[in-house]
Amino acid sequence: MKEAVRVRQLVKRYERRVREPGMAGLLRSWVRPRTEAVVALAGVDLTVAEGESLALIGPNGAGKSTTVKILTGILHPTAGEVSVLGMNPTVERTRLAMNLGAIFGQRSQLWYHLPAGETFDLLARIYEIPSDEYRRRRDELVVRFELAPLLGTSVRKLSLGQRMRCEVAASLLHRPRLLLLDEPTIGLDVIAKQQIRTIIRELNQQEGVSVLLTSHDAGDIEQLCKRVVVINHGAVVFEDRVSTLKRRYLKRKVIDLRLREEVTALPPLAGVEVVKAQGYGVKLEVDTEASPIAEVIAHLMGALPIADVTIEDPPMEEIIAAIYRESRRP
Amino acid sequence: MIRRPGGPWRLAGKVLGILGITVRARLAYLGEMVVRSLFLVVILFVFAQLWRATTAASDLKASTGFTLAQLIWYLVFTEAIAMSTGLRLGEVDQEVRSGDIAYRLARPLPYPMFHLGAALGERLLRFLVCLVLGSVVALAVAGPIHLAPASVAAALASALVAFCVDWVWSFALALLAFWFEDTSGVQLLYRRAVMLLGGMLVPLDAYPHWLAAVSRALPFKLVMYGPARLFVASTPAGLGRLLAAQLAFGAVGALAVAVVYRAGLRRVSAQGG
Repeated sequence: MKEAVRVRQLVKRYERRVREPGMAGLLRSWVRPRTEAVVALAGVDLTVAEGESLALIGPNGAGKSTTVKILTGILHPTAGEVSVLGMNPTVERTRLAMNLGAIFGQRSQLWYHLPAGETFDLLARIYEIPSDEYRRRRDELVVRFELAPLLGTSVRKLSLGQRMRCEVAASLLHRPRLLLLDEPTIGLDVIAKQQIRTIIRELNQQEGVSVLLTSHDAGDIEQLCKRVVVINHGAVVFEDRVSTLKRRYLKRKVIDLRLREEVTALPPLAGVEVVKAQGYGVKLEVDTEASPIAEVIAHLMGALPIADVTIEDPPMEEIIAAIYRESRRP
Repeated sequence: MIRRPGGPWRLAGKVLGILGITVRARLAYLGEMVVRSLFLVVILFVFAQLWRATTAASDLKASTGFTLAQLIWYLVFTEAIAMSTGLRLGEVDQEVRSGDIAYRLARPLPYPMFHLGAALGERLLRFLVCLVLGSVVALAVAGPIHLAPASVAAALASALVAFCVDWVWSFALALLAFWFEDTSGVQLLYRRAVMLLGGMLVPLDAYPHWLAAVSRALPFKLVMYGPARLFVASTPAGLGRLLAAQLAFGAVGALAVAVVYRAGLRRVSAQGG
């Protein structure tokens, strides 16, 4: 298996200036500056196979951005081994940049007052794409992302969703082999989010582009990635398939019942909590450790006039929050 | 297939690409730029009156070597240079402070080269707008003077080099943001030095002897006085010397940029984003 990203025992430490509050603290910091050691990364291992799509998640300050900056060569590691597309980012930053695509949801690479097409032309020059190859690729992306009606409009006049489609297309003009996505759907509405996710998924599947995603949006993680690495306090606290993550941390399930007649009281059962009961609809939350889901369903089927039943996992956000909580415990 | 960055010509093409797109982006707000440049009309009008009063009281030509009309046209050129100074240098502070520099570094275009292209694009456009507007005012208040095409071409060429030299030094100072975060104070000092010791309001020839000697010994004259003097002169004599001095000053500035930028990057790489 070829690796797009290989990180071993990555450590990043640095000194940070600290200052006590108030005027006296300010004066003291001038006379005797004080620093404290910060361990941003404490031995991170990470692998992204070629064509794989991996989510790197963690709470704010966990070390995600530091990891991504080291992968792009902007930060140099204190210790450890880093290889991205077979290159050492610390010594080959510019060459690596020629082969990376980056989408930062909160920052735009498009020139705000000009049509997106002008930025595309500029990027072709910056990434040194031969003109015929550029034209072919641009036309292909215009069709795929349905950009034809947008290309001649100033970026400032586009909706956020339209702008993001242009951003993604702009990042793909030079056919990057690795795509770094940082909160690619932040601020988008449901439909625009779906469009962006579909486009990225197709790219990953059809062109074999490796994807490293950092996001707080559980939908991005579930729909774009098969594998997830959870990082906290500069260390990896979970690494496995997204489905395993859900199973392992899925201690609760939500049962939605549609009844044939209105019921005033529900049969008591350990670990089952009524979230909502209105008319013929009842929503229950089940602690599967206290009562296995099969037992709960069997019990409910016997006790209630059920017309329909659906069992859902709790939202991904809850699972992620549980991992963060767990990794915070001493 | 792994792509590799090309050589210096490719890099020059990228800088020109940034320059071009900056011009096009600014052209979207040409009206705003023209309105901002209207301040030039006020300056030129005030100084025309001042010089007129001075001429009435003393022999201006004898003390400066310039006629009244030449002085006003000189002022048009120096003011066009001064007013075309972009506001982009604050961006370096901002990018270093906010960590946005990281996003620029992730592209295959060196960070200083991006700013060079953008600064030149903005400056050239502003300079041309100011020069056209200033020429209209100068024609109205002082009338035409003999502008030799060779001198004008020499002045424009040396102005272009002056913009690069000025940018190099300003950018070297802006890069101090890696350590001080806010470099607006030191930028202000540099800008004032270029204006006052570079002969923005009057040619160095009109300065008191001791100040003229100091100003001639300093390099700030290469940004304003040198090109503006060529503009009103009847021959392009002295262009070679001026360009050589500009290139030497620019080369020292480029070295300063390289040293400060490398040290700054090391600081970012070591300290975190």
